[in-house]
Amino acid sequence: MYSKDRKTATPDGNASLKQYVTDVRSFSSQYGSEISISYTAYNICGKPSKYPAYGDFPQTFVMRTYGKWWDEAPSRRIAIMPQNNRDVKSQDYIDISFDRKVRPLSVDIYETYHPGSVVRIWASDGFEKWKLLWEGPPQVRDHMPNIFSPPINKINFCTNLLRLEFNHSHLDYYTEIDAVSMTGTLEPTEPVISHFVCDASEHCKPPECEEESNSSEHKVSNAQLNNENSASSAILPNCSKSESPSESIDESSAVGKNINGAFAILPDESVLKIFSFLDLVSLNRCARVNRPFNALATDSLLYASINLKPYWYLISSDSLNYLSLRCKYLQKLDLSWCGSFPSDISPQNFCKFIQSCGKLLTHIRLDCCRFVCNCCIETISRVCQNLTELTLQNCIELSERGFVHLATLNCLERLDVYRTNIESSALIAILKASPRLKHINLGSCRAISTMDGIAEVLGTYNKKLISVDFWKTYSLTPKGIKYLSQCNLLEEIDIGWCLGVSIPGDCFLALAMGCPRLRKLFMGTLRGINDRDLYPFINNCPDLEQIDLLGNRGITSDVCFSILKSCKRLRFLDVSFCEQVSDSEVQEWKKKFPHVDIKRSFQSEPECTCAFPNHY
Amino acid sequence: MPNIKLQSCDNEVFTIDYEVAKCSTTIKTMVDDLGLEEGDDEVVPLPNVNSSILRKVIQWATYHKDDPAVPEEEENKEKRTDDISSWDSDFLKVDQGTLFELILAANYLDIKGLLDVTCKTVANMIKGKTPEEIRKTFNIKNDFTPEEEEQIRRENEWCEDK
Repeated sequence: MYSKDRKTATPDGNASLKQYVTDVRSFSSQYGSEISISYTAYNICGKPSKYPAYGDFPQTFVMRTYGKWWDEAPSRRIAIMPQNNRDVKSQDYIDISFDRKVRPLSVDIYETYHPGSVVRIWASDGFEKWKLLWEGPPQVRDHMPNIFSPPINKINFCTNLLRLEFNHSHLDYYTEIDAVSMTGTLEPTEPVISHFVCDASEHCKPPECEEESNSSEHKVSNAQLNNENSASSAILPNCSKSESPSESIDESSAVGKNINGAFAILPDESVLKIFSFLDLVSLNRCARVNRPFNALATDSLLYASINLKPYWYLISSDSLNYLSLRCKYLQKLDLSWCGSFPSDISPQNFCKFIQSCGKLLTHIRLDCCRFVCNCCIETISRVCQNLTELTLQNCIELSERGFVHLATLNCLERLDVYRTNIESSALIAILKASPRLKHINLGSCRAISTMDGIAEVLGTYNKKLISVDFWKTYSLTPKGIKYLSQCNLLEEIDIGWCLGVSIPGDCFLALAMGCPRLRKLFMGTLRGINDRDLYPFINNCPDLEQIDLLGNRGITSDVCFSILKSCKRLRFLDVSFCEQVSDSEVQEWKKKFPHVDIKRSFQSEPECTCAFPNHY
Repeated sequence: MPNIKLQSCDNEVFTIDYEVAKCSTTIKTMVDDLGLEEGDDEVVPLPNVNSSILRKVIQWATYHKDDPAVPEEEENKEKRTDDISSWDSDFLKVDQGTLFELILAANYLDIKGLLDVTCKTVANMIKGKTPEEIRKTFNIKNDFTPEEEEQIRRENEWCEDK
């Protein structure tokens, strides 16, 4: 175990326990790779290793993106049903577990680089439900180490599983989380049985009762809140009648013919137009207003694009069953993050939904959906013949036997298999069947043994390719880059940390000559590259907007200055840890080229200057 | 053809700049079909719009006459309802009846920008409200039987925070 738990007494005499993270259950992205410990999610475990230091340390948890740069790249995804998104959208999450279940009193998040991105904290009972402990907008903070300890809501169960959600769109650089601690009170008895009672009662509890049950709970002190109390306070047997106003309707009233009030004058198409701006919660509430509203709010025309990701903690097989009645014309579906527990959505639930509503689907997003297994892919491949976009980030249950079914599709334009176990043979079959492919994300796919073989297929069969992400795939070599240079429409390439390309030979000359439309070029930590490898891009790719050269020790300020001077559309340049470029030069460039966001990461502890390059 | 005459259903005639009027696809089509030309004294009848609403529509169209055309493919941008300009927002501070009549007129006259902004305004009035609050806000009657209501509640509360 990483953490040494600390027991103290709370003012009311209960034993309180401070614990650090013992395990990571799930996460949406990490900067680190699958075969190293640097910058990986698991670094969030245990006591702080860097705090109160401030800087860029591989011993922390770092996510893959920040700022707006990825949303402005050619590979950006279009939003599906964006009206469902909260004011503050969650972009990444991590599920962390602790040794012992407690009633949380506080959560402390140790932020050691670019703090301020935590927007939600959830607690789970571990098998069925999530409750929000805190939410708030992202913060703009000073460049200082920070322990973020927002005031948290009380919950009526014990937890050892938290989810942190992040929005880093406002940040200048990657945020880094060193550790998380949860302090809470231990229960006299572990309230395992009580949860079944709670859940059963909550299903029939209308939302209006929530406040009541919460406030009644607040009056009960922590010490009194044993499991019987929490179960009974949630039951509130007389709630079910609260919201039925039907007795107040006077059918015989003078305005009886007009039951739709202000809406009466509008044709259905205008009401549908109004409803098309509503999020799913509002639509479902409209469906409960009266019969005419119900008929329109459940009209299949309103359910052609469905985004359930913002409701990930609420979606169950029931949700899919009810939705399927409305999804006759479903074209785009985002189920990402849904089904965090096996009891929420089973593979069978999902397959049934796809079988009944999937015929017209063009877009399916299933990022971080743990229920997705091989049979789901088989069903998608069989039913959704028009599929153009499939995203399966972090679907780690999938194996070759599932992926191979995708080769029966031939309209794919986007395939995102970041951090999956896809292997070469299935991928090659898929690529050969997908001549329209425009975007592919193969980042951190460690089961692909020969990325050069994949690149060869891309260069031969996927000539329409616009973006390719090879992030941290170690089997790519200069040979593969040369194959890729045959994708002449390529606008974006991420070969960051592809250490097999470290001695590039003349492959970058070929890439720059073959891909003159390049707008985004991410080539961090390709140790062996030097100025000579970069000049071809300056000379042949006038549209370059984003260039990442992080950790490239062989390049000098000469080529960086040339890039800044010659690439007229450049807006982003990362020269962190480029040892031959001095800080003072970077300062000068920032003044001289104010339209370019020049990144220069740092580590504050002198003994760590070597840590970055040696950890991979 | 700098000016055009529009006649409301209550027989008021409005003379306005054709550049303003043509934001209505309906009027533009009528003008094309009638073959109206400069100097014509022809009046375009608009039997579905009364003078007070037509006056509002013209006010809106005059303010927006130089707006760039909305790109067609941006299907998602227009789903946002928090992007109503402050001028539009002030312009739409009207009683509910007028707001709904404006939707009706924008629909009939086929003025996409006005239809979008009025529908978004009503959508914003719905968002965040319970079914009962929606009924109260728009004077809507509940015609469900208690059994139906219970069934419908079950079908529709799965995305409510529990």
